[in-house]
This record gives sequence, structure tokens and C-alpha cells, in this order.
Amino acid sequence: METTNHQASLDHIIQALENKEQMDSLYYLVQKLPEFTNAIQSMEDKLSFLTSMMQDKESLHQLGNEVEQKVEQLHINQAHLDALLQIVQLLPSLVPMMKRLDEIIAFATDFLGDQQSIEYTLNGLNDVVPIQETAEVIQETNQRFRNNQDNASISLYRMYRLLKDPTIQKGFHYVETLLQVIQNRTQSMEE
Amino acid sequence: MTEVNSSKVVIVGAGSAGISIASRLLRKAPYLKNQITLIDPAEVHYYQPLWTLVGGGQSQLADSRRTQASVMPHDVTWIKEAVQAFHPDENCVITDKGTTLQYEYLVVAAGIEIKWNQVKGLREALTTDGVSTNYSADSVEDTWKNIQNFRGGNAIFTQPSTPIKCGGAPQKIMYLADDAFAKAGIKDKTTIQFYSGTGSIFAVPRYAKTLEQVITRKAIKASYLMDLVEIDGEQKTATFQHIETGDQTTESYDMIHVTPPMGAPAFIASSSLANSDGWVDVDPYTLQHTSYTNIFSAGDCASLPTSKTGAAIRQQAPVAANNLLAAMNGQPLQHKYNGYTSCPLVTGVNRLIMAEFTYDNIPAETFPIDQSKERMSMYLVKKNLLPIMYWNGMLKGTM
Repeated sequence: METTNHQASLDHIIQALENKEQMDSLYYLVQKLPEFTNAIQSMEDKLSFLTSMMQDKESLHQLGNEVEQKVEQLHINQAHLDALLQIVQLLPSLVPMMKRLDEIIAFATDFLGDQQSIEYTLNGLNDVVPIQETAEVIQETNQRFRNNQDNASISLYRMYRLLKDPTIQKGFHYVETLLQVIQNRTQSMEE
Repeated sequence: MTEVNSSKVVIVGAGSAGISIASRLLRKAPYLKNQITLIDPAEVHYYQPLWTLVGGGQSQLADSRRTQASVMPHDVTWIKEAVQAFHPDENCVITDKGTTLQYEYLVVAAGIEIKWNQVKGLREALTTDGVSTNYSADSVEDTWKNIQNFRGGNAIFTQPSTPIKCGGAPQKIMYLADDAFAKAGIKDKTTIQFYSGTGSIFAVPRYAKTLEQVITRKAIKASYLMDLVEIDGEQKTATFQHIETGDQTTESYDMIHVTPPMGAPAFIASSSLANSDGWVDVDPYTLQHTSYTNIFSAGDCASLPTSKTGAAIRQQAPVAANNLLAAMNGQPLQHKYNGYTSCPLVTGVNRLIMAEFTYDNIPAETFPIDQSKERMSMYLVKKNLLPIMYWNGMLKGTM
């Protein structure tokens, strides 16, 4: 009876092996056998190392002490752990900001290291604010002032002549307009 | 000799899109170090949006130019060859030098091709007096020379009916030329004509309204649905053809700025990656190829129904890079491109309309001001800020 059952099981196995899927799987297993063997051997080695290490009480004790000392030096208390939990909670909103910050820093670093871009920007600034022209005016003024040995006091006539200078006149007109605007605004606010 | 190489990611084209995508891939996935290959024969990299200002005498060509080596991301391989054929079923591309390059993922960012031969006599005419185009590094400086040498007469500016890079550029140079003519005191003896193959001054009504006012203010004669089909540099005549009726008209010119017809690069159009118009057939939102899931495309060569600009690429690059990485890691493609594009429409020196819009020409403005108005601030952004953002941000994968 036992032999018959055994025969029946073998028949089932042989029958099953005739299926294409089973055959493909078996073929795959056979092909992969060297890799599986290597993997098992490697695991065996690691397991043996772990077992040996766990048995080595002295080493474990020393390792534990070292970790404990390092953790103690951190002086971590409950407040730190609470803060850590809060940071973890905030991470989804913090990470996009940090990524943006990282991009800004990368851009700024790249820009500051790029002489061509810096020169281009300075030239562009000069288009808006005539830095070069202004600097030249100031340099020339300083030069002339240093060279000028005129120590005579400014007379009222000279003052009058200065006041008639178009640049000063333009400035006065600007201040006059500004005062008018302020006056109009004040009046409308009072009304 | 045939050389065979392989790379995890191959990027065809090292222009704005190719380099931006490579930089973004490396920032997001440092493990791709030395596993990305860019293929492009060009030794020089140009920031072409500046060429409008170069042609208009407001910027220098040198400011738009850097060596390709200086903008190439670190830790990528650069093959200085031109791709000639795609074999997507075998996951490889073949170059003009016979190199076969295998890939796991492919990005096609090969730009747009100028079809010089579609206008009879154009190549020859570009060497003659009064003819130029801002669409070539060799000719862009001639535009400013022609504007300076112009002493009055008929000044013609053209735009083809084909898709072009930066759809607003053909008219921007016209407005800058008008400013120069006014400054030179020759406006009263000058006729400016705009011949466009498109149906209107601009596709987005919000900005078209302001541009119509600009055209009226500058007394520019605009003719639409007219394509330049022939130019005779010796006789100084240009022939235009109406797109619908086929009627032709010939005009004499004293100076002409030509925007040449453009189209998909021939090596893409003839490949199985292309749609019926020749562009790389991608999903308009994910930028993934519609048939080959390991292929992505961005920039001018992609089949995206939006204006082909550098600003569009700035938005496409992160989508292409993120979705490629998602595909690589077996994740769903979550990043979507909404068709954003921007056209800084220079309407004169220190005046600009900053047009920004998405698919279906829906305005999507960045600044908290009415960008449909001409503004000096936006002009300064284009001239001074955008080039810096390009060189130090976009090409580095941070902007």
C-alpha cells in the first residue's frame, strides 16, 4: 500500500514536471544554481561571523560601553527627542524649502565663480545707473578740488552765480514740485 | 571603423534642453555620475535669446557665446559627433562617424532645423547688401550694420508660416530697427513692412491687443498669411506668396530681415520616433514617447503644441528629468508640463511686453503687474537677468 502511494506521488511529480511552466521554472533554477550556492555560502559565512561575535562577551561589552559613552557625550534628553519628533513631522514641508535653498545657494555659488556673468551684470547695472560716468565725474571733481589753490571766501555774488547753475536750478524745481505734491496730498487727506 | 559604446542615459543634443536635463538628472540622482552621455558636435554654445538685442545694437554677440566645454556638466561623457539614425527597437543610436551607442534611456533634445533652401536664393542673398537674419551667428551682427547703414526707403521684416524658435523674434527686431530709424531722423522717409505667414500679429489675444497698438503707433504696414518664397539679392527684390490663394507679390527692399522657415531635424523626421509632422512624438504632459517608454524628449524638437522658446525648455527640463528617473525606478510619471512658455516681446529700446502663457494660449504671468503693457522693468529682466539665470541657473539644473 505504501509503495502504491509512493508511486502515485512520483507520478504526480512527473506529471507536474511535464507542464511547460514547471519545466521553465526548473530550468531557471538549474541555471541559477551556481548563484544560489554562492549566495548561501556567503550568508553562511556572515552567520558564522555573527554567531562567533555574539559569543564573544568581552568584545560586546567593550562595544556597548563605547556606544554608551558617545551617546552620553551628546547629552540628549527628552526635549531633544521631542524636538526630533517635531522635525520628522515637519520634514514634508521642510524638504521642498531646503531643496529650493540648495538651488539658490548653488546658483549664487556658480554666479559668483563665473567672471563672465559678473562682468555682464556690472555692465548691465551701468546701463541702468551710469556708475562709470558718475565715478568719472567724482574723480575729476576730486582732482580739480585738490589742484585748486583758491582759498578766497565765497562771496555773495559767487553764491548767486552758483544758484543760477542749471543743475542747481533743476534740483530746486524738483524740490518745489515735491513740496507741491506733499501739500496737495496733505490737503486731500484733511478733507 | 565602427565603434560601439553604451550608456545608461543618452542625450541627443547639448543645447539648452540637453544640458539642463543632464544637470538636473545629476543633481537629483548623483548615482548617474559617469552614466550619462551627451552627443553633440558643436564646440560653441549660444544663448540665442540675446540675438534680438545683438541685431538691434543693444548687446554684443560675445555675451551670448561660451565654449561648449565650459557649460558641459561634470561627470558626463560628451561625444562630439552628430546622431544620424535612431534604432529604438534595439535601444541604440548611430552617429555620422559610425559610432553605435546603446542606451537604457534616451532623451532627444536636438532642437529645430533651419530650412534655408525653402526660400529660393536666400543663402546667396545673405551675403549681399541689406540682407540679414538674426537666426544665425554668422549673420546676426549684419542686422545691426544694415540698420545703421539704412538711409531710408523700404525696410521689410519677414516671419514664415512654419513653427520657429521664439515666435516673437521676427517682430522684435522690427521694433528695435524702428527706434534706430527714429533716432537717426530718417523715420519720415522710411516704410516699414511686416510680412508674416501667420494669421495675426501674435497668437495670444491679450498680448496681440498691445502689439496692434505698437504697430499703429510705429506706422508699420503688416501683411498676414504671406510667406517669403524667393529673394534676389542682386536686384534687391523679395517675392511673397499668399498661403491660401497662392497669389504672389514682389517687393523692392533697401533692407530686409529674414526669419527663415524651420522644421524638425531631418534625422528625426525620417525616424520611427517622429509624428506625421516630423517632431518627436511625445505625450504633451509627461514628455514620454508615445510608443517607447524609455524615450523622452524636450525642447524645440518635441511635438509639444506650444511656442518653442528657452523659457518653455526651462519648464520642460525638470519634467523630463523627473519623469525619466521615475521610469527608471519603476514609479508612475507624476510630473506634468502644462505648456508654459514665455516670449519677452521687445517693442523698442527699454520697452518690453513679457508674454507668458500655457497650452491653449492661456496667460500665466509671473510678476504681480500687468505684463501685457510695455515696461522698462521687463526689458531689464530680459537683457540683464535672464542671461544670468540661463548660464548660472538653467544650465546648472537649479532654475
